[in-house]
Amino acid sequence: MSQVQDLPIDQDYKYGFETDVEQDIMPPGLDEDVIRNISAKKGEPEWLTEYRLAAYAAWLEMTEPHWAHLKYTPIDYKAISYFAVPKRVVLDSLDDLDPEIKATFDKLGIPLDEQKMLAGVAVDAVFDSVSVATTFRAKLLEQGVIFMSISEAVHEYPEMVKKYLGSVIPVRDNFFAALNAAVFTDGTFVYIPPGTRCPMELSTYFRINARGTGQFERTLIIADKGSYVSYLEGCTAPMRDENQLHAACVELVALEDAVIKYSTVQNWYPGNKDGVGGIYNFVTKRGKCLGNRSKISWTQVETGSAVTWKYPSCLLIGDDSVGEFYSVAVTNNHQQADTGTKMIHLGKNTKSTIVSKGISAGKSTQSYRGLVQINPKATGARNHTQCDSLLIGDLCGAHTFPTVDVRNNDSQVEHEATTSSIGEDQLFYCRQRGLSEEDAVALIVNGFCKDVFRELPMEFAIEATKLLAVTLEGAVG
Amino acid sequence: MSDWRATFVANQETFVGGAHALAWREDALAAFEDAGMPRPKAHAWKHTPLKALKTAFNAAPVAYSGTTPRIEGAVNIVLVGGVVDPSQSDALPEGVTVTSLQANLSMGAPALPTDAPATLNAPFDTLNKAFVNGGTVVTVAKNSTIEAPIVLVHVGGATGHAVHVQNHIRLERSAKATIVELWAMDGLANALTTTDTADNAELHHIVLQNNGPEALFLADHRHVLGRNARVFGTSVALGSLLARVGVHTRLNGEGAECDLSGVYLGHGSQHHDHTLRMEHKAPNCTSNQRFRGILGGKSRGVFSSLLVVTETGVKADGTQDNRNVLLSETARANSEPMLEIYTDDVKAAHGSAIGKLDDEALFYMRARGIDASTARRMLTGGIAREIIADIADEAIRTHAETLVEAWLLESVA
Amino acid sequence: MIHISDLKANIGETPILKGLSLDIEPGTVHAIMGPNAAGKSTLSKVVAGHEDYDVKSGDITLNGESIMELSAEERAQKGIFMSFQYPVAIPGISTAYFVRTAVNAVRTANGEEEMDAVTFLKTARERMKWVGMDKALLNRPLNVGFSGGEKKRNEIFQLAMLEPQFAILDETDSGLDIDALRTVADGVNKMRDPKRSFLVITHYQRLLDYLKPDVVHVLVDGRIVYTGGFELVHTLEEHGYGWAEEQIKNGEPVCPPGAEA
Repeated sequence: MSQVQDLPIDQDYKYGFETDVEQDIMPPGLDEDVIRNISAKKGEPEWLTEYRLAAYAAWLEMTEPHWAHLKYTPIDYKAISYFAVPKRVVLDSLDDLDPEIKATFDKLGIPLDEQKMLAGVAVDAVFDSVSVATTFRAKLLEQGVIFMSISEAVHEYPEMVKKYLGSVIPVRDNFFAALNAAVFTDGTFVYIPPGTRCPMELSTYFRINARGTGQFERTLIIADKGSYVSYLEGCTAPMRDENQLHAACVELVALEDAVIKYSTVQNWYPGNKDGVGGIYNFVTKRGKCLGNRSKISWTQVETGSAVTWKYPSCLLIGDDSVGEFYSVAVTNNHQQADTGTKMIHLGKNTKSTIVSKGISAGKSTQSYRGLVQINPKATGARNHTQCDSLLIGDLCGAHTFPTVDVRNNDSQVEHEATTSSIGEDQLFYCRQRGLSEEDAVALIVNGFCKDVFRELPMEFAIEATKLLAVTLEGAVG
Repeated sequence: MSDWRATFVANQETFVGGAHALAWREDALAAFEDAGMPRPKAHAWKHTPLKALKTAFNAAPVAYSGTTPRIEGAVNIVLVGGVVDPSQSDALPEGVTVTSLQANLSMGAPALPTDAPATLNAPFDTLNKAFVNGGTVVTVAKNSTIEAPIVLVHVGGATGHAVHVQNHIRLERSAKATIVELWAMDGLANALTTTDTADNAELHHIVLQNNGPEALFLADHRHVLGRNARVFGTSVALGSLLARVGVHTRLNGEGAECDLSGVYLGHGSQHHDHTLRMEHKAPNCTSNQRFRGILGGKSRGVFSSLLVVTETGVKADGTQDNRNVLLSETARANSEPMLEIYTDDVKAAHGSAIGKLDDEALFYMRARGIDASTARRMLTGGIAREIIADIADEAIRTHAETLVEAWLLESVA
Repeated sequence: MIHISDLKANIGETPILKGLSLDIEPGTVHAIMGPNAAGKSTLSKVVAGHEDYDVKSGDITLNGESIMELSAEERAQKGIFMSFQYPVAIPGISTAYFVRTAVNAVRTANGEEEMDAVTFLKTARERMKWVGMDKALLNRPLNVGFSGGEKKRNEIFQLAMLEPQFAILDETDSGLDIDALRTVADGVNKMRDPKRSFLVITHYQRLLDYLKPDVVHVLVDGRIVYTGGFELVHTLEEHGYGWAEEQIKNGEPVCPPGAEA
């Protein structure tokens, strides 16, 4: 009998099953001992334990931010278990992996057998608190590309981890980042050596499975001089009527002439039609364009989570560096999303582009929140922002909160935004020409999102289009 | 005891309205003390430092001996330190009454229009109420069209002193008028203006702010519009070291229309802040906002505007447009055009741009023989005139142009 | 082909169509003229299946089958086309993509094979010529930034691509200059076919001069009050509709000036 079971909740969320697997779960609650315990279980060096404890001390002094346009039941940090790992995790060979976990990823469409995989995509699979498999590692290492779980990297490349961990998102950056720094359990580490174009797409697939836990992963990507990497993350979770916390940190560092393209298809469980359950997604993502002419490009398709709080940002430090943010966020039923970006221009002739498309349906609420800051030394800087909202139905909300702060007179910043609705007129017109209402909605929404979808790798663009249609099912009529 | 309370006690003798006005003044002061001064980075004051307002300002009347500016071709009502001076004021045309607020204060706290929106300048509205010592109540009778603009000329004040003033403007049904506030004060001017534009009435509300270079200006504007009412507001901001204009507009009647425009010109260490909130509360309302910043020296311009469409504001059509030109390396601009929308069936768009003067245009002009500083003045003047052109009344428009020309000659080299 | 009998329809509580009957045979062109607010646009939207209109009674049949229970897209798939008075814009979706999606939706519904991209493009270019439409518009988002004339040409272009059995042209002539009007009319005339019929709704004589309708109806206050031949167009252009409204008010039989009672 298969132990990968579908949960009996009436929902269109096809990733909502739960895997019955033997797990080592720490009791709920957080104190210094829990942190020492996590660190000890992972056999971490002293400096990292100290780093965690310092973060924890900082977190205790901080308060949860409430400036976002979000309403949610308060998070009880004492009720969360901060560590949950399957008992049978052997990273040396996929053959030793718990078959239930392998079956889980198969069911999610992420086969972990290298021969079954999509050609040209390497995957790090994270199951609750731990990375359970990383494919194509050896092949990538032939070209000097390091692709492994961050837990392993701590041991194998300690200098590099020590140098860059927290260098983009300082421990005290914000409440959730501090919490992550204290309790992060796993995540992905990527290093691309100078002049190397990473030969395949790298990706991490995050899966929350255990009840009563949170997921706190940490991703660190370093692209050395003149290198290129395209990275994609995906995420899902079982359908439950509890809210689970996901508080991740992603740090990107691009050195001279390096390019990092980071794409996300976020499909955490959004809760049911009445707003019960779903993931609280409080994520800090930031990239540093450290070298001249470096480039970081964020692309995100956000369809899941009950609550999303997420602002993938770029610090444009190197001269002529480039930051990009392309986002499609779709909310339906009772979902809430407060998302956007920050582009901090520090170097000369830095450029940034922001394209944000928000679609709200049902009783959902969505906000775009953005900051474009041109500092005094960032002469010749350019930004263009296009930020559009589409409303479906009259019970949802769409809000736009951009901030533009320009501190030199040799820069050009332009911001444009629109809000509109899928009008009855538009739908009727399409139907008069023979399209069904659902096809008409899909057509209009895809047209609306086109500028972002074309930034995604082909197969993910198709996946994203489908996901959008599923999320908006029943939104009209 | 706060500085402001000490000042309040010290100034009590001079308050209009006598002892029985003290109760509501006390309440307002207590509310101010409860709220306290905004903390640094408090959301509503994020971009506007309030250091200059840390200590209390004496609100006792000060003597005035300056030359009062007047606008030719308009009806000038002169307020010295907030108090109407009939000897300097013109006769009013039929259909308009202007009464001094002083007369009302002994009868109770000044009344705000029904459905007036809240202040955007909190907590300084409570300070205004506690200390209010002057202002006007302007009423335009129903079906009256007043051709000549009515200008409330505000003069007086002195460095270290404060004037707290309120002007309450009401246009009755189907009335039409142009009401201008001309500011030429020193010290702190803390001013509340309410406008109540009844069904089918049309108000042109123009604020020409040309206070002294060290002045501090806190303007709290609150507009409420009835059915098919129209309000055209233009703010021309030239003076003051620190000026905050908070404009909260409520489109309360179906089919109401409100266009707000403004230009702020900064040099030296000036700080101009326009904080707006436009609330579409009734169906089929239209609003447009167009603001331009011209910022030189170490000046800073802030445009922070929230367009809100409530559940009842269906078929709203709203725009926000903010453009800033930075004339120097050290000038700074903040632009925040924000949308908050709670219903579908809306059309909203906003845009903002910050940059420098167009090099190509400058070169083109120079290639035609125009010297560089004239060219720069022409280009910046053109940006300001885009806004000033919105002022329908010729006398007021001409006066605004004259003020801007003088500013350009002084500030753009 | 199209048979409308005693059609009554409301918007909210307000009756607009008050018992309208109409018969249109294959291969014919009918015109409906009438004063403002007579119910002309309501008729076209009710036939096309717009849900804002509350049909109280009556029936509409296409080739003998009632279409009253069909959705807007099912009616379109059965071959009912409406040229919109105000065509809508859809950002991000090119005209070519939209029209091809529509053509194939109709074909699929009728058990026909989808039109491949090459055939589509070839056919589209040819038919755009019929209506004098700039072929660059194929790659632009549907109706976004199109001029009034371009939008109307685009409607007739879609008519040509969808090859319906029955087409309603709802004020296709409004906002067109005389040259555009002529090319649009030429496009419609090219589409005339013994198996296809047209219902032209208009205020003006100009378009009808080019289309030469076989039958002309006068629509007043939600009813067809008089039906005649092409000559009626000139009577209406000259005398307006006041006479009809007057005669109805007085309870007299409706009879245009100069016609035999």
